[in-house]
Amino acid sequence: MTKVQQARVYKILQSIPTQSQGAIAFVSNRCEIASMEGGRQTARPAEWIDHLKTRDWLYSGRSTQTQALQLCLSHLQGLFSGRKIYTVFVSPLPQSLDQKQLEEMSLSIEKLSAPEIPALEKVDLRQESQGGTLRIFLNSSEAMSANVIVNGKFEPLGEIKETIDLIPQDSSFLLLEGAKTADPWAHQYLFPLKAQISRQVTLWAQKESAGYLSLLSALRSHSQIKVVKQIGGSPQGDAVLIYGNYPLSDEILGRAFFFVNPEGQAPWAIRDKKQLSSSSLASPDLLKSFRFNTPQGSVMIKRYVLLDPDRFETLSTFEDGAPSLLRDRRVQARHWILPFDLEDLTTDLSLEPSFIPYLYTHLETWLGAQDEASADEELKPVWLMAGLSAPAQEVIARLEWPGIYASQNRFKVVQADAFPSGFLEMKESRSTSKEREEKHFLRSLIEKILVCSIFIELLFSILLRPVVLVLLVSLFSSQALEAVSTRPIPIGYAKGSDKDRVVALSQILRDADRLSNLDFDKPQEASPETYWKYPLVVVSLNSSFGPFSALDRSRIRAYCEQGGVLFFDDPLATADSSFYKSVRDELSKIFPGRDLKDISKEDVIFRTYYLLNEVSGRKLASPQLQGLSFDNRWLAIFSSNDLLGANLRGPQGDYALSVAPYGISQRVLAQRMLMNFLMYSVTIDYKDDSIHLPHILKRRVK
Amino acid sequence: MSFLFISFLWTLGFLSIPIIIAFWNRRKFKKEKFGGFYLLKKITEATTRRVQILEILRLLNRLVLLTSLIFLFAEP
Repeated sequence: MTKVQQARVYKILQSIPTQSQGAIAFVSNRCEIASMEGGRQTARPAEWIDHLKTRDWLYSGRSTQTQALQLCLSHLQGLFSGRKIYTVFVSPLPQSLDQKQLEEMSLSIEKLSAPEIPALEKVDLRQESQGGTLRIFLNSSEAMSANVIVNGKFEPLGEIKETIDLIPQDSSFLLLEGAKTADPWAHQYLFPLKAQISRQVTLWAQKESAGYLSLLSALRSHSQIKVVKQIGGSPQGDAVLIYGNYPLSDEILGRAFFFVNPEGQAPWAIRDKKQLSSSSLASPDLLKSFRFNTPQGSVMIKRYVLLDPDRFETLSTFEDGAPSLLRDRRVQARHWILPFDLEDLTTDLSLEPSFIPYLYTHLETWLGAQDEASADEELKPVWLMAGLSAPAQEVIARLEWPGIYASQNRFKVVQADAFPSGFLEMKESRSTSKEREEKHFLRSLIEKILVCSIFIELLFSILLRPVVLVLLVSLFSSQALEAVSTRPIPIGYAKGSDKDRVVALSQILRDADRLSNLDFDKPQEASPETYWKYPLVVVSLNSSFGPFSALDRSRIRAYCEQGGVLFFDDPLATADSSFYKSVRDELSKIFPGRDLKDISKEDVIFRTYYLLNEVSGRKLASPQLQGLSFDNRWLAIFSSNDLLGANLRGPQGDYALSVAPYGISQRVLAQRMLMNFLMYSVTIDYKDDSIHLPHILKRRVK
Repeated sequence: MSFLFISFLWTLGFLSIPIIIAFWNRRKFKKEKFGGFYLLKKITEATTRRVQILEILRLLNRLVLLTSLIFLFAEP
């Protein structure tokens, strides 16, 4: 991290409000959350500045990866209990980062002014051993200064243009340095010198054979492998190539590479053998069992053995999947086995130029392979590249700081990672500030909604009070009220009523329209089920009233008790008629315990509209009206005098039935009586109000 | 929309309370065919519909009120 960048981070921290708490994460190919003393991961900006000034920054030079950014983001989210947090990344971001993934993380990238670093060019290096020297060929457009690092010691060699000759030593490395840039890691290249893998091997065989000799000659032409010939006896050396029969136990051997004789002895049980026959040559599928491919071409093996797959790990295979190179699982991968030898009967190796490179490659890998035991050894830094800041111990422990790390038996070279072409800064993204604006907008919106809805609730609680409702209805629904007030009042008549009496009823209703302010509708036929629609139901039957079912009786009872009035008019105008009896019987069943009784001439029914003193009708069969009362209200009224008959008029308007004994005055009285009934059905006892009393008394005196 | 205290949103369940109250109040009314008051019924019929609409609006307003209160506590 450059001083410029560190200063930039301090500046960012200083710009954050002093009381705010925050965390700092170091992001590279991993996410590391910085922690204060005591493990605290959140602190105020000033505390962070003090803390960062006193410790090494966890800078490893590893490229930042989006996975690590995502990990950091989720970790920080978790640290702040899922709150929406302000996140700033200051990071050397390589251009190779997946921009789409960054966009998904709602981060925008802004470039921070930093020294421009030219893109790295790849430097190729080739090494060749020539006699006792190692010649290095450099493929680079510019001259570079070469340095050799031996056991951590640094020896400058001067400028190198194309080639340089070196004397190989153990644990030596070549460091090439290009032109100096602002970043000290740019243009620095570390190479292990080939002396590292140059080994001496012993080629052992029980007895010499043609195959043995051809292998010896092939190995001797290898520049880095020194071959020691050994026939018979116990194999000597760290790395031994066992050719052909091996009657001894493999357990005493160290690193060994076996060339197994398919017909001879081997230290392990051989499960099967495969041999090329003339029939195999005819079948392309069978040929696959004897052929394997190398980068240089295919190799045909005529005979080989199959070993126990449980004990051996397959490294490469024939075309049909049979193993062509194996590794012993038991002895920590130190024993490699080629399941064939190089005799003429086994292979036409001399005709297979592709086999020699294949053999070299695998022998080099075998020689270079680390023992599993030595792989466990802890690597320690031998030499570290100089950076702009000192490496943190955690970074060195993870072998991430560029340099050379080695143990007694192995080494590791950590190259400086590919550098970005510039340093980038992830600032607070525009989308984040947009989100903040949205948040403010949302909050103020919710607050406004809350205030409005409290106001509306108060308004409702006032508006929905009955008094206010009536006022409102009268104010805003005056049309509806008018419409209702002009709605004609329907009067019902019982099903089966005398037709003439129904006509008379409609005639009296027309008269009532004319004589009063009330507006009556045409009479409508009603049954106990529909009585509730009418304030008054007229019953004038030539037959008996009822009998009704229990349900109908309850309906009639409910109708009368809840405000309805039944008016019975006997069309026969005879006292104690069958109609009267049926009405009385049925009413006693509908209202048990109650009976028809005479209605006093002082009752309000005689002065509801007209002030009357006497009953009337077509005939004066009874001097009294009878009725059934409940709660000072007449539920049913019975007239035996055929009141409707007295008012029946023909098509020409003349009265249809004669009235006796008082003639026209009796007819007028009957008409007035009916008017009183109609008014009573809708107004009940309003004329009992004391306000009407003086007027009524005055009229009576007259 | 994200919330600071997203766990507080469980209180949105309280929205069911005004709904239950509204339905409970509706159940109180038993339909009764009423002979003497038939006219009165006709008069109020038109206004009843208006009152019902007002009641629905009141319920909706209460839900909005409660929701915005919860959202404010949950801090978007």
